[in-house]
Amino acid sequence: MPKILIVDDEDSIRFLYRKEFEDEGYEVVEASSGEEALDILEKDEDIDLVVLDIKMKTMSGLEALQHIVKKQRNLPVILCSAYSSYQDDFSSWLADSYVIKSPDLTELKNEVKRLLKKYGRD
Amino acid sequence: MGVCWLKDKLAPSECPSIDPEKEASLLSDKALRLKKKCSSCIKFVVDLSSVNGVDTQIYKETMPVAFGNEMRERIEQLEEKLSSIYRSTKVLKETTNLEEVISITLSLLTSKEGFGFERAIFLKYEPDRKGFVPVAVHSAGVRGSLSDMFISVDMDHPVLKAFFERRCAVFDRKNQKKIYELMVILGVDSFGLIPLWGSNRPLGIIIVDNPISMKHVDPASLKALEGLAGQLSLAVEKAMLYEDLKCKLKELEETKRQIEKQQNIILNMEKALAVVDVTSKIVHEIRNPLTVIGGIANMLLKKREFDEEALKKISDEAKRIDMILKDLSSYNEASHPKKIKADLVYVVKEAIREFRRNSKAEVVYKLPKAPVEVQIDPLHIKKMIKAILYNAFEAQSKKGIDAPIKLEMEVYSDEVVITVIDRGGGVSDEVKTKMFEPFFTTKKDGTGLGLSVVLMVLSEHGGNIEVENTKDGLCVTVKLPLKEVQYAQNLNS
Repeated sequence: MPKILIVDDEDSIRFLYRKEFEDEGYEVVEASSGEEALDILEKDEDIDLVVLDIKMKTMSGLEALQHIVKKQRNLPVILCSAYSSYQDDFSSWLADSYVIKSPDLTELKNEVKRLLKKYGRD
Repeated sequence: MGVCWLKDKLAPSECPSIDPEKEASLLSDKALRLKKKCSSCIKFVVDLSSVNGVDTQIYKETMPVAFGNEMRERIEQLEEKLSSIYRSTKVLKETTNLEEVISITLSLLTSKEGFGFERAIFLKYEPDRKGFVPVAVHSAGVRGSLSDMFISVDMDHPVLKAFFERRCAVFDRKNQKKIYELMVILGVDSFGLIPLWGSNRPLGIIIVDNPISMKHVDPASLKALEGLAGQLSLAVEKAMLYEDLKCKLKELEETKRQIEKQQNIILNMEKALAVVDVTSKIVHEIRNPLTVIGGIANMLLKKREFDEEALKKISDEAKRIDMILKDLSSYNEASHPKKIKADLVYVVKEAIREFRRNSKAEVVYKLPKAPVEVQIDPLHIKKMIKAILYNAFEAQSKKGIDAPIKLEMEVYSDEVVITVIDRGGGVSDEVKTKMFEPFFTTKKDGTGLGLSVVLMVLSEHGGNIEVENTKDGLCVTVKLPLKEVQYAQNLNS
């Protein structure tokens, strides 16, 4: 069962994503900050995909992304943000996908499926 | 000698020049008679010419009387001339307008009370054209086109030689072949030149001549002008410097206008960008809770099951959106104050009272005894004070500190200063720079609009805010300008 790490400082967002991804048959791990996410990734080598928020109170998602990519090049990362403008920030290109937050999680779920398949982690 | 002019008293018939009815006093006043009548009498002149220096007393008495008149007249004329020159130079010293300086100068040269030339022409040195251009002429009625009279510094010209030697000179057609063209333009046989030099630059040339009488210019009168040329040069240079200064001031003013225009453009662009920035932040702040509300609703619809926790999340996020919209509304209202005359002391007291009632926190305050009349929106100011107090209270609560918050209000000569001090540990430099930005918050449930509303209210009241860390907390200082404030003199009002 693929393991997904949800990184978002909003606990309601993490609640929703956990519910939806667990329904899809994924195992879900939560982190409320970039620092916590890096900590989890350091200790848990079984994470198959990261869903990463950008605007967080301490370390931003883009900063966390740089650390993740440095340590684990083959770990797919989906940037998920309420901002559409970060797509123009070139540092966001390090991510495998960029999804704008929406009540309809279809696009996010499809991207998760696609990337897990691409990286052979499905 | 028995002559009439020697007698102390004369009979009416002894002098045909005296009217015995109108000038009776002259018959008995020898000295006056000599001055007024004898000196112009042919008999007196003839008699005097036969005096052979024998009677020196007579000579001494009568010569000055006879010829002294002429001398006296000449002296009087000279005195008048000197007075006129003095008056003109005094005016020149005080005049800073170049046109006026040139006009006064040329009038001095052409007036009867001045130097009496029939014409004076001012040629100004134009550095761009490298030559002298006629700019003004005062004349005794001679009018002609002098625009052809441009003298270039590159010309081999006796006029220029005199100019560069800084001396006044007279030029005569007979012995100055090279200036023939100039003479033709002037229509004279002789003219005088007065060079005008500044401290280290040429200013111009004045040409004087007599085109009506065609009289030659007297070198002696030009010599007299040499002394004056220095003063004229000073006056002209001063006026030119003033003109330069005026031009530069105009340029500076224009530059300042352009800068202000650019600043306004930049300000408007910044405002527009700020609006874009705030709008994008609003979109972000609302999109998050909407994602939760819509996402959970879709999930529940799909599952068709009751999930209390999920429904609570929907409710919480909906409240959050409501809070954001309320704060946004406050932010918008803060930019449209409705100002009235109000007592600032009363408004602050009310803010403290309401804050204490809702938070149960303690506030120790020091306010002026007399009312402080202000032109403010009292609701906005009250909200602003409450926001600052709540901020202080939350900082202390986060640290578990239960200490009174201090508030002090002081009235100075040009402003009112309100300080709020807490013991909540202070803020980092990063937070200090961002804490008044819309949607910036360090609080879990904060909208991040509270302090930006404070800033907006102050901005609309011409005030400002500063924050400084104290040894164990934060000091927030709000300043409101005095022009909006009047400290009531009557304590009983």
